[in-house]
Amino acid sequence: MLTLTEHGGFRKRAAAKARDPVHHEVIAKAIASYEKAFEQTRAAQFTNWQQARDLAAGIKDEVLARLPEYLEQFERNATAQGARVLWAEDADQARRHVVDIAREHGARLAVKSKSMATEEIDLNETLQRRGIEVLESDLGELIVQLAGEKPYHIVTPAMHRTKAEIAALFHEKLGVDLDADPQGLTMAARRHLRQAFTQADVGITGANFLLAEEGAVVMVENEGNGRLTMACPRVHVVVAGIEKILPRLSDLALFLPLLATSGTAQAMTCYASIVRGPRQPDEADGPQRMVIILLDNGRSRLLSSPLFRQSLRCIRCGACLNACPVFRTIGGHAYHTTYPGPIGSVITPHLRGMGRWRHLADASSLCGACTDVCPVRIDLHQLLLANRREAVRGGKAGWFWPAAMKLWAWAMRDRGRLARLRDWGILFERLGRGALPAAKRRRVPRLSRKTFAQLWEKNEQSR
Amino acid sequence: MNSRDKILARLRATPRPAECAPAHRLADRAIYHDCDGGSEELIARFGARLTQLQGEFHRAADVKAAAEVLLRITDDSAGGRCIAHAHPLIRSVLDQNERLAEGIELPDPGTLDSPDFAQYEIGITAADYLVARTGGIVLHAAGAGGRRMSVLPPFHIVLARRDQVVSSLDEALARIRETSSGSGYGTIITGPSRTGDIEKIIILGAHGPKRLAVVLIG
Repeated sequence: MLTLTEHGGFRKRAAAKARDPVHHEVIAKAIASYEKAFEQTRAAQFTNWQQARDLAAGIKDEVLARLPEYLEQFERNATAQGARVLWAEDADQARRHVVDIAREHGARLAVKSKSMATEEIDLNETLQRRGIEVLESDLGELIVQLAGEKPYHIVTPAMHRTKAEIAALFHEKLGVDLDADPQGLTMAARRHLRQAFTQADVGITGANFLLAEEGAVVMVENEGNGRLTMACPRVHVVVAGIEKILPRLSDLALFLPLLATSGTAQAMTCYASIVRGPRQPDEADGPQRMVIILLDNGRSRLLSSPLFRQSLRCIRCGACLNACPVFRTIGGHAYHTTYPGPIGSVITPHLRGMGRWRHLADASSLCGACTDVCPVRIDLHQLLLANRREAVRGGKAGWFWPAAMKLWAWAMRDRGRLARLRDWGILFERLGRGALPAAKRRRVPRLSRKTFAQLWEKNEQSR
Repeated sequence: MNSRDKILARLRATPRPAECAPAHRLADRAIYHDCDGGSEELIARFGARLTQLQGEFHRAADVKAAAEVLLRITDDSAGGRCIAHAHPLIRSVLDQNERLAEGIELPDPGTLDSPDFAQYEIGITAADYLVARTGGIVLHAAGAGGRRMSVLPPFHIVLARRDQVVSSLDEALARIRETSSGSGYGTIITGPSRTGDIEKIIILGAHGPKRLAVVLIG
């Protein structure tokens, strides 16, 4: 497809990964184990998964319909608990807020737990340029940080790495034995970060949910690094998208199991922490300050589209990545986006510009597997189709597809024209088939030498 | 106009869907498998779930028996220093056994900010609720001796009474809402710390406690 060739090497990267048998094996194994566990967990816990999805989508829609009111309510209640709430229109403002807070507290070392919002604003690079060391504490994030990579997957950042590769990496960077097993590697990460939690000046986290009625930040995780990041340093900074709001505490009874089931195939994650402000008068410990940065960065643009606003229901579970045949084939890094896979291909063109990112909508077979698994019922494949349409209407899809479609529409109106188009096709087959890019990789199907009517007649005669 | 007002203005300027009635709320049981029954059934379910998640579940008829259980499981991790939250329930258990009380540090809550938790092998806290359906332990900081005691030491022991077992997360959250409205920090613990970040192989004790035990009294 010609439209794929346009953007910065996407097609090249995708093609290279698609032909990498090791990559294929690692990802297939990881996703197969997720899928098996997902089915078991879902069946053991939910009697009615479809109704749970409906309800979750309904609650999120309710939030989106009254988003400004909920955000103000959240701000009011979080402030009453002693947290400071800041707003960021874009990545640059959000980065500046974090740098200002770090400087205000003379921070040299920041410890982080996994957060896609901070990936979205390239926070680590910014802080490091300002002389503030940043340590990722989630094991998967630590692996990609040490390897100098971006997360491969929004839930499992190091899904693409084999244990042998990780052992080699930890050997080089942390002095761990080359033959260390996953147990040994995990313990090495634990030792490596233990000091950091108590020595860091700032703890930076994301948020899975913001509770409007409680003014609370909710974070789920399995390792405990998030709890340590929030509890140990004297300043806790939260970076959260404005769509993370849930109205009330009781909504967690649905959203925590839903996210855990879709995200990691667990009934509940090991830890779900609900934080309301810095250390309170009746508390023994905790940070002296808590700052919550509410990030727009294109989300209000998504909200303003009646069709695309549903993409803000997303709870970043990663289920659509796991289900997507394209993601499984080309991997998370080929996209060069913060959010890979179907949800990333839906929202990235709107967050970062259709001109540069419209090719992502073509990175889909439109099979709908993503839509089937989405726990908040985002109509992902329809939105991918809508992105294609928008790219063409906006004149951003190049000349080829609009011209090809015009030719097709012209031919389909008249049987004679269709026959003529076929004749041209046959001529092209004889002269130029070898020049088709696809011909290098697979057999290009041949046009039938007989028309449908001729075939029909022949069929009737031989009866 | 500052960025707050700009963002809110942008959000307000977007057309709202005609229908924005509050989402219909279903009873918990319309979605999840039932988790009913008498308290013994709920306790059995909680214990089974926790064990399945590789947590340990101990029962003790009274505080005296609980002290014996505590002595036994803290002896397992020999030599490590042990810290406990000065909660009435924990105090009443420690009072039962001198040898137990000797081995466990019970700092005044006001001084909990200072100790270097890295040196403790065991942290003992109370809990607010135990969730039968998921095997979850609900605790808030004020009731659990702070934000760190239940996560920094490699072995976390929870003491709870049988009347703290509730059927579902829904019920636990409803009770939290009624009782601890001013609380700053709460966490729901479901099994020992774990990671699956390397080839989806589950390893316990990633950053939080590798060992988690619940002692249910009554």
